[in-house]
Amino acid sequence: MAKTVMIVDDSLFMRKMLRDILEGEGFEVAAEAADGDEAVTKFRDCRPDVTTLDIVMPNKTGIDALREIMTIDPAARVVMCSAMGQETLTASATEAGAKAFIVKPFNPELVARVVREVVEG
Amino acid sequence: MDMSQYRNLFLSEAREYLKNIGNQVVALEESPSDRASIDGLFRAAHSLKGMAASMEYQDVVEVAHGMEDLMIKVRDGGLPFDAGIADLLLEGTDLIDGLLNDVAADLVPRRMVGDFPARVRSYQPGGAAPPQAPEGEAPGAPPSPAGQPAAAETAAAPEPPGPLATPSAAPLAAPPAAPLAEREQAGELITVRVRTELLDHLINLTGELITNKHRLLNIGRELGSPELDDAISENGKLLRSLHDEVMKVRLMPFEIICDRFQRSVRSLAKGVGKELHFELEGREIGLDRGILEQLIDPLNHILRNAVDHGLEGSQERLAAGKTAKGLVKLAVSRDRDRVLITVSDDGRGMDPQRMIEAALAKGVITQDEAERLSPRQALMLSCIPGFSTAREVTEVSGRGVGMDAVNASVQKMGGTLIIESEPGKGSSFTLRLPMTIAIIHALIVQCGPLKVGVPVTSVHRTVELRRDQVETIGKRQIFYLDEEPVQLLSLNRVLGLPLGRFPTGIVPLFVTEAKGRRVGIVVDRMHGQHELYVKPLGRPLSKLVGLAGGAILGDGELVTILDLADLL
Amino acid sequence: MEERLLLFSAGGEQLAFPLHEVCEVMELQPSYPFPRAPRHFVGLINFHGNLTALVDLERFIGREGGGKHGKVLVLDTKIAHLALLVDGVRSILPAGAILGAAPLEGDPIATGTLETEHGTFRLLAVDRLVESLEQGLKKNS
Repeated sequence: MAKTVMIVDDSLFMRKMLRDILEGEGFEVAAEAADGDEAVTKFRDCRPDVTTLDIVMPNKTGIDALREIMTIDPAARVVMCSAMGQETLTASATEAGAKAFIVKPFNPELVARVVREVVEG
Repeated sequence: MDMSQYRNLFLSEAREYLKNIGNQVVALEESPSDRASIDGLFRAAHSLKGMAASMEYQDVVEVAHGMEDLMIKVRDGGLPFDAGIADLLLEGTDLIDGLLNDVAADLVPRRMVGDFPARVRSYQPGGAAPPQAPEGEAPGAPPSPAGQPAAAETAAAPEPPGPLATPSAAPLAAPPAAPLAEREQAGELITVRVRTELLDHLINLTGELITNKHRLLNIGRELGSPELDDAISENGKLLRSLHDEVMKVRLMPFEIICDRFQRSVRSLAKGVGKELHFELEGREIGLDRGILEQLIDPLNHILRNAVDHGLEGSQERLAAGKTAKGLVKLAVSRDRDRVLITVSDDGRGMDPQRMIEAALAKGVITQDEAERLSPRQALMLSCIPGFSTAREVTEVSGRGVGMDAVNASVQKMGGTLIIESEPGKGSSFTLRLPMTIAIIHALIVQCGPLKVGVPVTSVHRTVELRRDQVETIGKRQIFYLDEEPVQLLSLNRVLGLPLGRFPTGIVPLFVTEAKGRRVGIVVDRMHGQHELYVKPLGRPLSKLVGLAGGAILGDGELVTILDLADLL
Repeated sequence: MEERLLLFSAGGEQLAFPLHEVCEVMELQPSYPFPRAPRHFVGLINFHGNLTALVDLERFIGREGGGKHGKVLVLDTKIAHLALLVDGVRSILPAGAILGAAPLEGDPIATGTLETEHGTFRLLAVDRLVESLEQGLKKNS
């Protein structure tokens, strides 16, 4: 059965790109969310195998959403999406339980590999 | 990965972010420390950068990155959001907008980003932003009129000396001819972005022209030349339409201020634990930028009152056979040259009789006056200073806090406030406002040595009384208007001048509304109604309470315009 | 360029402004009274379309009758719409010709005194003057 993924990003453009990349890799997109609040709610409902989580978002940042997701499911597999120059934030994300990072602009091969590793790892 | 499939999505989302940035900049200019807007602006620039990087549009990345960094300094570095930053951000959105147009036209998005990134990096607060990138680069600016003179100027200008010199803008190469033609075909040259100072200047000039028209009319009358009169009146018509057109340019949709209301109503409701629907109607209606700015506080006040006092809690609502959730509605509509803004709720409403009782108890009105108040006038009692802030009144009226301030600001904008209410059913507050402010009609009156203007929006009518029509009741003088007694006040006295003598036995006055009641304001003489171009008084006179501005009459005389709401 | 000072007098007192704070020196011209202002406000004048408050400086500094009205100084329009009625203008002095200067603490309209070959002058500052006038207006209302 295909692994499920939830894609969280406030930009529709970014979500579409990630969806195309991950669907191309055989993932099933279980949900998309456009802000931190929505991410937490939808995570609770659909419990995806893996979540890609943008850091800079309205209504709760990615880091805050990550913390809540980790309390809902301490075993949650979350890949943070960050932009260059957000190194300080990646440290707190790791601390909060993020499994990996992908950096914008996305390199499709790299994104696919990282997400797959996190799901299988 | 083939990125071209994402191009349209990129374009539409990027344009949305640009619009968003524009709105947030405007919002921050009003309240520069608004956290939500600062965060929102940062996010928009950040997202733009990320998207553009994915599309490999390097110039867009560079500009957006600069804007993002600037907002990080504001957010985390204590850099105050000032006009200079606003200008830089708007300049950045203009640059990106141009780049997006290139993308849309299937061109490689490359523009003269010039020294924008450098200026953003080195921005110091306090200094206004260095001059904007030459208009020739602005998207949609007509190529030759904007581009060429600017280029000529730069060529003629000597190297700017001194420490204030900024790196001059990148060479002003006109955009290549072919792409321009293509864009023109694509119909993208139909909009031009103009700085607001330029618009203000245009309005100033139009105002001066109208003042001058009155001067010409005076001369024409002296000369007694019908041909000249005809020509002037024809000119007057043209000026009227010029004025209307210029004013239209300044109109901005109500939308630019309404998001804040959505936010504040939501948090207010949360704060008092009430559930409500908030409806917004007519976001697209245009109002003068200046009026929009002045509307924020009064509307916030009215909305706060509606949530705090107007709406009942859900228990009380259910008991009254209403839905648990209350409704607060902010509706904007047009009525010829006026704009109506109505805040209504389906709450407990206001009871005129109880308002009157409370006013009596507070000693704000006499028994005699109380008996004469119509229900509508009784509701307007909530606008009396002192009365409106009284706690017990707030409770009985379900309204009140700061309504005097609301009423005063509405009148200052040349508008009127209408309160309607049905006990148990709800209330509505309607602001009837002019779309534009700079040109008003005013009644010119004489008081002793002074000639002053009174906006006709606050004049119900003018009356000439014979002395024997004035009655004295106690210390008050009154006259009867539509069989209702109306108190008389002397404008001379209000302005601290000696009282008028009225040698002809005729007492001229105009009727206005003060503290919810009609009053007759007696003056020495009426000079008729004039069309005035209102000018601000500037420092130090702007601090003088009771004056709303000044104007130049056709004969060159200067008059001040009274702010009756403040004076009475 | 070297700073220059405009030397003038009001109510017989010798005063100075930094020259760049003065926009124009004009002859006395018609002014129009306006309501609710303290006595030192003479009226409004039209300065290039700006409604400009004309203040009788000798009244404002409490030296009424000390001089006779001669000239109007229109101050920097970027700071205020304000003109001053003064006795007359004496000269323009390059800063290099100042013999000595002392700061004035707590003066509501001046920053210091200047010694020149024409005697001692009180150096006014437009922003202080405007603030001081504004304070007076607020009290009045």
